[in-house]
Amino acid sequence: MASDKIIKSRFFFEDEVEEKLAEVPTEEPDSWQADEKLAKVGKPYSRIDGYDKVSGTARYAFDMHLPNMAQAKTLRCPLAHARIKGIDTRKAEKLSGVLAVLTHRNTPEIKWYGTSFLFDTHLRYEGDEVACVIAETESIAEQAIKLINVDYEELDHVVDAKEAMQDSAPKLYDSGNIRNGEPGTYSRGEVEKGFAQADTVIEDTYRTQIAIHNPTEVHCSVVNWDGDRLTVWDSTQGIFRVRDGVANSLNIPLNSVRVIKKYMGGGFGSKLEAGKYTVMAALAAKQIGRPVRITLDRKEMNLAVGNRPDSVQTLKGGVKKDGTLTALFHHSYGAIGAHPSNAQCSWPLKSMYKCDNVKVEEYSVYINAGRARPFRAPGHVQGFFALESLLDDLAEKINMDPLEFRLKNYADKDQVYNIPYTSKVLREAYQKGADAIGWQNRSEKPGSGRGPVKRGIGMSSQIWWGGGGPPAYATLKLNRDGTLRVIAGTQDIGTGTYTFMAQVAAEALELPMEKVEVILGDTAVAPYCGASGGSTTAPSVSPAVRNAAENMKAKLISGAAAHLEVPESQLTYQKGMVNHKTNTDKSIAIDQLVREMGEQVMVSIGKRGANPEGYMINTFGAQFADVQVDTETGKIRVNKIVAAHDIGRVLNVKTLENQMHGGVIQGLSFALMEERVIDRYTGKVVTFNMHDYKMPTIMDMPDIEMFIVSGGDPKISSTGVKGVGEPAMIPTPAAIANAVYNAIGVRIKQLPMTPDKVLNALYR
Amino acid sequence: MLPFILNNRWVKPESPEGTVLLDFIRTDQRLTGAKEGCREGDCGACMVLVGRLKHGQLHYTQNVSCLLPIAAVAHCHVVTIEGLNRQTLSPLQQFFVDEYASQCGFCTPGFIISLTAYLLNGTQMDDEEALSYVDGNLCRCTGYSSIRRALSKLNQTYGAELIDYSVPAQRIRRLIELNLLPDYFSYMEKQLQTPPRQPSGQPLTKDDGARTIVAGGTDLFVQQADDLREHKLAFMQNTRGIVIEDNRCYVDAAFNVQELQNHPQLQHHFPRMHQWFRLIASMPVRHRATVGGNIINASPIGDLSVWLLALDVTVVLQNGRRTREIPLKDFFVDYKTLAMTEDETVQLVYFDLPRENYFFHFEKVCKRTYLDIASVNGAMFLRTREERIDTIHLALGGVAPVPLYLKQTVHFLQGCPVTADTIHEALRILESEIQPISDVRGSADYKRLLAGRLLWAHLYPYYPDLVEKEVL
Ligand SMILES: Cc1cc2nc3c(=O)[nH]c(=O)nc-3n(C[C@H](O)[C@H](O)[C@H](O)COP(=O)(O)OP(=O)(O)OC[C@H]3O[C@@H](n4cnc5c(N)ncnc54)[C@H](O)[C@@H]3O)c2cc1C
Ligand code: FES
Ligand code: FES
Repeated sequence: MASDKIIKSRFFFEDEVEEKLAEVPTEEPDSWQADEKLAKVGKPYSRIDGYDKVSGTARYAFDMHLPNMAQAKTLRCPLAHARIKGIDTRKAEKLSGVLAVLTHRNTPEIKWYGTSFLFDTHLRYEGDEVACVIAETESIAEQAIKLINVDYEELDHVVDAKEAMQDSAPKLYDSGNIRNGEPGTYSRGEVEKGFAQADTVIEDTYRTQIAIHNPTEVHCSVVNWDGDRLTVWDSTQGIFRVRDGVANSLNIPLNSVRVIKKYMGGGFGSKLEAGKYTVMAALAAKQIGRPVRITLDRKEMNLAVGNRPDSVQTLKGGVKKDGTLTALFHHSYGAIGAHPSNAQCSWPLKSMYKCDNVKVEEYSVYINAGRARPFRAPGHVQGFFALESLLDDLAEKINMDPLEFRLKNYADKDQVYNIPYTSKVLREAYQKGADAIGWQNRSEKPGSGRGPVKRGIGMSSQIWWGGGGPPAYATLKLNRDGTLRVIAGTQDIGTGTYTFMAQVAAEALELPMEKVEVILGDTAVAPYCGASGGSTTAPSVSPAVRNAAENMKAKLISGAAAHLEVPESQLTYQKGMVNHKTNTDKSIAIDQLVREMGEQVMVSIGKRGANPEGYMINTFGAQFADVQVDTETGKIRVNKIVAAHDIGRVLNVKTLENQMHGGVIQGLSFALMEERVIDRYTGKVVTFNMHDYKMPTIMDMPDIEMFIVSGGDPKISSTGVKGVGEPAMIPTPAAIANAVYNAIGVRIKQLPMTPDKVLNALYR
Repeated sequence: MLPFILNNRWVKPESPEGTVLLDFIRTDQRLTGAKEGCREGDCGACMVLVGRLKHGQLHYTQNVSCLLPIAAVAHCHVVTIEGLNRQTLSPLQQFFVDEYASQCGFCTPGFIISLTAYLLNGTQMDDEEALSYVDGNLCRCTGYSSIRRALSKLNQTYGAELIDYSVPAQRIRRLIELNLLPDYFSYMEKQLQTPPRQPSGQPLTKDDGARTIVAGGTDLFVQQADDLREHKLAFMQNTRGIVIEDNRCYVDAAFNVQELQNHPQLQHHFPRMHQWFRLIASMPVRHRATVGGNIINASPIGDLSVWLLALDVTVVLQNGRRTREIPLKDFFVDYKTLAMTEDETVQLVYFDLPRENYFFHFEKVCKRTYLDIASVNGAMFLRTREERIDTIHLALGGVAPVPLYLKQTVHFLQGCPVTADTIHEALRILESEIQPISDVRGSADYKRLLAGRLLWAHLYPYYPDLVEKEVL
């Protein structure tokens, strides 16, 4: 077996570069070629965990029940900004069935968000944690919460980014409300010169709203101590992140914390780190000597566990008559809530189209509200809405077809780092998408349709990272009966990780799918993999599985050579057998081999190889929307979305479709419905339940047609996979917005495009 | 507490009668297949089937268990996903797997339950009908196309043959034969007939003051499930249903919205009833939500209230043995303030069924077409005689602190011809009668704009030329 080496690995996770030392293999199997004929990978296998899910036997963290388990609930600050002057928990503690009440007074000072604490006395938003009650039942815990008397000193609040940027605004931090005290900036070329060269320049301001992840399963944990060792069942997208976060907070060794997650009911970016609730439950469980379950309710979900920051983006674009983009400028600010996060949204403008002169200035602003977290393609969804709206307007000004305009400015290499892409198959996506939506039938004169219901077609491009990278490891265990177990410290968050891992292993070892079983989501037994976000899971983990399988083959050949007493070089591996190349008598089945070795199992380890030096890895795509707008009521109905993407190799069409369609519907929802609303005067969230925070039902579903225009990308990894989780969400709002413009001839520059905005735009 | 059957065995809860069924199932019974997503009827993750005997026959409906007090399922058959499972998957479950209709899976048991309700009750057995059964199930992951395919497959495979089974017991038997239901469903009807039927809760009497009145509970339990757990509850019983006598239609206050929607005689008078009522809440909520509850709820955007206002219904109130009547248009006094005393309950509403030359129209505008609260809703009843308006009733929701009967506009329109001038003048009056405020459902300006456009929208189906000429 080849020896391994350690490298510094860098890749984009969500919208930021992640840097980690990673052990990578020095030798890897030949990458599957773009159109490699594979037996299992790419085939439409149903989820291997299908039974569990349709029968309700799938056990989520929310469902975990341990003997003697207590229940915890959190008291959250009812005010937008306050300081705790005093807190009296005596009444709550006396309530029968209450086991403990945690507050800042009786818990260690545990650092959180850099400068804050697990229980801070400076409460910066409605929903900030004040106390945690542990009781025999949830309802007792809830009653007890009402009995806690907190003396709040109410402070002035600010819940709007623009206001928060004023000098006179109430300050969340002594250093001011602008994160890092300055904007993030970027520039290349000379924008002023670029605008001077332009024949047409447009400047406009676009706004997007705050959206809440709202996965169906709330955030929750069940924790149990065995002496000094802690086990956490958590609804999480990142078991190792939770392990590290919890161990750090409690100041205990990493190997004392075991985090388990088998099934989870969605996260979309909100479950990427250890939550305060988990640490509170762990503290309480230690104190009362019993397992503790802590759950949030839907209101807490809408206040305290993350959101997509809003944005006010002022964009300026310059274009020549022939369609050449000469300059792009982006100025934006967005609210990140009360604690450090990031509202940047300029990546689309920086990276999507060829443009030599670009300048960016973007502010992340603290306000008195829940903290922003990555949410399915952070930054990109907002950024593309603005960029693609501007692009359509520029195209109209110079009388050019929007699609042709985009092709005119097609980027052949990465615009920011000035390096080539490993692959880019976007032209084909434009073509496929345009054909499927009927682009040629699109009315060229916006708003020219007859009758009260007007129809329109629009489009948008997308670029995303999704290349993943090391470190990611996988272990294979071959049992005495020839069945195989794949073990990895990644997690299936509904994306189908269980299934594609089995496919990759079955492919590489040429075994039937039924022989493969997958164990994920347990830090105690599985080797490290990153969190499931940024569309990195499949591209990071699938090559590790393949690598492990190749290593297993090498081991099997070595074992067979010893057993058959022939040189390794004369043996080959095929379909669960090690065969002699010429002598058909000399062969052995792998189950027999494992038995011969007197071992219960044979183990191999695989690693994700390094990404190629000097290349950018991106996914690309184009989406087209066909909409109708009722000019009587302002209602927008999306008839059809066509999504055509370059996402590298398809591992499984079924799970792929789930990701793509799920992304489209979340994009549609962001475009038309979802919005967290805060009342300016009280600083309180008014859309804290599903009555008021609307997400689509099955009735809101458009037709969706999907094309994958790419094959595997052999440059990236041995499996050639890019990510699919985020790309389909990115261009959806922008495509719908452009289609709405095409329908009614009036541009809606603010999301969500609710009936009131449409009617106001039409008639006021 | 009175017993009920949970899946295939009788249970007798020890918990207080106001405990919601979801908590009983998950916490007491440790059946975790029914999930909790919102506790307010909006996600359908907690969906269960509830089978009730009606005239000796067992009828199942899908209900959100998070809003259902256990007392409301006394002597019922409650089915969770565990009660549908067998060693192998049922064809419905298998279609979900094959069509990848389950992603994270958290919503899936709820969908399976709702579609089982469809298998039990569907009459058209087409995709549109199947979809209407999952209008209360939210999925945040799949994008729904896979779920749509799974239910299509269900229809293609079983739809045609199931249509022929319209008697509940026969339908159940056939579903068992087709492996779509477990065997034990075959003897549930008998099981439920054996224990003596007693009304759940207590009949209302005067000294019941301390009890909280529950009809469907879909309003009460959204806000106060925890507080209501330990309360004494008194359930409104639907004892009268709908009675039509001398062209007058009497509706029991405890009649539920879904039954109203399905009522053949009402459908005859209001052929588009089905389309309108589908816009109210979701099917599982409509199965519980009652006429009386909607009125008493007095929400300024209550759909049913607006609908009933335009029918000019009369409300019959009762206090002990005393009853009195009040027109609904005089019933809503101010925000959540009603012209009734605490001792009174709503027993009935009644209205005269319209005869020839009438139009009735309902509109609801909201962000999300289905399962949403209206920004503005409105209804119009119009009867003409010799080209003039003989009777008109107009109601608007979302434009005042109460569901608003437009008294002045109506007064003006009475006797007028339906012309552009009349309508423009009516709109001016209408504008002065409403006082919308800005909230999450839209700005005051927007609601004002909508209020006017709704009048045109009401008229459009009947006077298309007029409307087209004036506004389009
Ligand atoms: C998910 C969801 C969606 C919804 N969508 C809509 C919608 O689209 N449109 C809409 O209009 N509403 C909607 N609602 C609100 C609600 O369901 C309705 O208002 C419903 O009709 C209330 O009826 P109920 O029988 O469930 O009332 P309950 O909750 O049982 O009672 C409501 C109130 O009325 C009292 N009460 C009930 N009946 C009587 C009586 N006969 N006499 C005296 N007092 C009585 C109760 O004590 C209580 O105070 C929705 C609710 C939910 C949970
Ligand atoms: S938990 Fe959401 S509807 Fe009951
Ligand atoms: S599959 Fe996740 S909510 Fe439906």
